[in-house]
Amino acid sequence: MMPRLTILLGAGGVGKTTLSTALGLALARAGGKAALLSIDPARRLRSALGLADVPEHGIRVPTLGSAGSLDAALLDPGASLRRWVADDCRDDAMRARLLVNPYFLALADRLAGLTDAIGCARAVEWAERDPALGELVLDTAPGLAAVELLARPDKLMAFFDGRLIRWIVRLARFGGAGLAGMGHRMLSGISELSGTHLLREFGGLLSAVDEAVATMIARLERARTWLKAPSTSLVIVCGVSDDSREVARGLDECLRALSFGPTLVVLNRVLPEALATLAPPGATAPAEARAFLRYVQSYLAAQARVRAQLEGEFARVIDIPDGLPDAAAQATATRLDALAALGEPLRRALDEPVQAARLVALHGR
Amino acid sequence: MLPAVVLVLGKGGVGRSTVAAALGAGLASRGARVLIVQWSVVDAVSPWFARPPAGYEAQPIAPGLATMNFSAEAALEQYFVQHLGMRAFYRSVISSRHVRHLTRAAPGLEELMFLGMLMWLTTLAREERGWSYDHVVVDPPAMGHATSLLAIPHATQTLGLGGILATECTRVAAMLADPARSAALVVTTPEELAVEETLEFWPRIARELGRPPLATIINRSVQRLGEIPADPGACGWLTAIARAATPDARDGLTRVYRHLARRADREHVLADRVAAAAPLGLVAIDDALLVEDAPTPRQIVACASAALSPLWSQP
Repeated sequence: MMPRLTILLGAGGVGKTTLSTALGLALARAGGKAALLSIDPARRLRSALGLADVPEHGIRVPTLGSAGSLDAALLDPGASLRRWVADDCRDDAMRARLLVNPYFLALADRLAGLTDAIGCARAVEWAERDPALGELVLDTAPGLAAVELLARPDKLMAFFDGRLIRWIVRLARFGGAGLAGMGHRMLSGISELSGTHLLREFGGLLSAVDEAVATMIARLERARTWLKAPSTSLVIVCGVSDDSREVARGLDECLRALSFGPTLVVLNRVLPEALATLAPPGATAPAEARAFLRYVQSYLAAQARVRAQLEGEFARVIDIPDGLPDAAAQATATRLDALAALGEPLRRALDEPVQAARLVALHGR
Repeated sequence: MLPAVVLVLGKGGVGRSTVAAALGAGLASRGARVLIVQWSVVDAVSPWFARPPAGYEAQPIAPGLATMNFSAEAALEQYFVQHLGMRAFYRSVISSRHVRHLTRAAPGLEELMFLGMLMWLTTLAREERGWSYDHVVVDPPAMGHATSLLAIPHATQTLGLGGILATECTRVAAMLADPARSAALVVTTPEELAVEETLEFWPRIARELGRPPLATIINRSVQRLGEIPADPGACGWLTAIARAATPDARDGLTRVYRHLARRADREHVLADRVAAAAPLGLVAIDDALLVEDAPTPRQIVACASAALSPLWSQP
């Protein structure tokens, strides 16, 4: 039985990392055994949690008297890959050589661009190692690329599984003996491009990481099923800006095309409507006061416009107020309370199913 | 004067494409021929000019200004077929399904193709295709990826690369190392994560390029609010606004004020930490919400273009 999975998606800078942390904390407060896989959290967020560092392998977050618990880990694909290879490589000398191999480092770097696919494999690893885990919250890299990688981990697998890769490995192991026809043609073509040195070294690397890659591919397969499970929620985070709403719409279109279930959308950093009652600046008001009041009114106007558009496109829109408190001058308990309170509306929404009637009205089914 | 290739670097969501659009529009309005090259899932520049998203083919979006969205597959085809004249090799090797899997995931290959195309656009494209751009403004993927972009030319040494790709790496390295041919701008907003990331990446960019970025651009700056104290109670004009407000509104006012004061504070941090090392220092673009009541895309780009003018008016 896999834990319940919640994935946060959205444009850059809309507050996905803060909100996923807040959700993790709210789940722990509600008695859940929760885990959070997060993209590098800001210093303020780490200090709000009372942590100096969030390592790749995970750390217990002090939740101060919660019924449940929260463990957090940094999503760092390069570091995960290095750890997996080290775990699976039984030969010490080979492991030491591998971890300084420039091709391996370059490959790990390349995979860092695939944060979300590796994030899925990392999430599966966590669930495998901690069978009691009830909730897993996954933060993703900004933008539209996340969805494609979440939905099609096979893209990543295709690389490792490809025929060409097997030829390259063979070239490295047996010096290309027995390679004929197409394999020979392809490899000599590539040598012309890059020189034979690169091809041999790369092949050596690929055969050394074989086992780790096989484990990762198996985890990606499990992730695919898990992503489509009825208990999995996809949450799109949107800010008060037209750009982030465009990204939200793009994400929703991709997700529906890939036949994922209904998504929840969060409008983050909402200002209180009461600000609309502010009087316009007086004739003698300084330029700063005018600029400030213009900011408040333009923000409220944008907020109303973005919300109306989201409500026309999504089955459910949840408001999250603007307000992670200042870390300074406050007790840890107060900071954790405020952060958990920020995640609470989202936690409650995850427990309520979207009304079928609303979905029919939106998408005609 | 800005060089032919201008790289606009920054974290996702800080407004790189706004800055690329504004920079392109500003240069084009002074008579330069400018191409904005993006590398993203969807073209984010054309919508600023009310045009549909562009693909790999350059699309005109304003007088003297065009944009395109990079695709590694199209670039590979162009490189082998048109540039190297190796159509048969492209057909039998590069475009084969097996090699495609490799080229998609092979470390650095797509990045090298991207940099190679920038070099081609500003040099050989003139004789090969009759194109001539005075400036190519580059909106690459977000920062983490962009710094690995700058590391690519060093691959010849680190990976022991040979063949055509080694030649290509050497040419690209020469372009990036020459301040007369290329420059980098770093974009950030005064938001917490963006500033943290900028402070972390700035030295890395300087190291990879062998010189500091030309300028740091603060997008959505709150400099219009002047020197604002961190404590809302110490701000005279805020106290005056709050006095006339309902209790609910007063609570909201304090929150907005604190948020803006934190942003102002981070702008000071940026000024202290990265301004001095950049030849053109800091350039601030006002947060459009402080300037216009309901800013339209055109107003946002025009406002940003005006703010960026120090970049091309300097000798």
